[in-house]
Amino acid sequence: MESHEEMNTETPINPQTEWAITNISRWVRYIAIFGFSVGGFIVTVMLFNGASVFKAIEAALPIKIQGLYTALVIGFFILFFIAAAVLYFLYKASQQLIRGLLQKDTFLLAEGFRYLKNFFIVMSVYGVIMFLANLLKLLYV
Amino acid sequence: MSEIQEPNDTGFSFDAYTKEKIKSTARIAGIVAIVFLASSVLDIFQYFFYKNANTVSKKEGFNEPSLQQLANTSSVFALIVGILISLVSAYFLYSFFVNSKQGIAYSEGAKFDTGLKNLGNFFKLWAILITFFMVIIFLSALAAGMGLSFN
Repeated sequence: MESHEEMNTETPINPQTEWAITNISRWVRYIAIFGFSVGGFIVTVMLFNGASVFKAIEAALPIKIQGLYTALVIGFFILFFIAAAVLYFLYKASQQLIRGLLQKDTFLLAEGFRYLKNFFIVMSVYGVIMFLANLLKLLYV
Repeated sequence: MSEIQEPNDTGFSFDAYTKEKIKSTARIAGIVAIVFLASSVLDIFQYFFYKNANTVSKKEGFNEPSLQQLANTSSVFALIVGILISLVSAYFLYSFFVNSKQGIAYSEGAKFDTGLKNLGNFFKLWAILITFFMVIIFLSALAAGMGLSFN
């Protein structure tokens, strides 16, 4: 109840809070733009040389099964689109946070944090999957 | 949706909706911090459990003691760096979670600011790490390409 009452009161945004949010937005935008650049480079390489890259990866893998090449291509696309979604969340978060501060609009700030929350949800799902995969490897190998 | 209160230092305030969004973001960030921590523990356990798996280099024919030592040192170094990064990331995210939650619940501006600063530090850390590793990869690819062209 006390928490609900506190949530209903307005909390002023002081210059330190504004600076902290600007800082978050700056680094988040850097990661997003860097990620988009790397993604663009990968897309360019794959467009010109994708088949030979996948064939080289298939040859380098220790396991040899039928359909491995197709699995690699599908796996690459899945990972690529997940990464694109993550970068999109980061870019939108950065954009909304800065706009919210410039326009003094708390709804835009809320939207910025909502995109950050989506980013952390994807990270937590990925982290849990990797943790479970490593745990299974430890238990069964 | 925006609500502007009486003039203060910056001229606006967090409303209940924004605070709710920040709280829910902080909650998920706290979960990610726990995942980082659990991964670090598992990495340490995995390293000691698979200590004898560093015989890969022996199987490939590189069985000189100096190369063995280099491989072992490299794996320990990589493990330590990985764990340090996980622990620092976990600290920043957990600090964001705890301080934001308390800052909003008890209207403590200083704690809330600390939480947001630590969230910024988390993204700063990963921005620097990503840049560093991409530069290393680029230089390695350049060196490999130059090595191939000279052969």
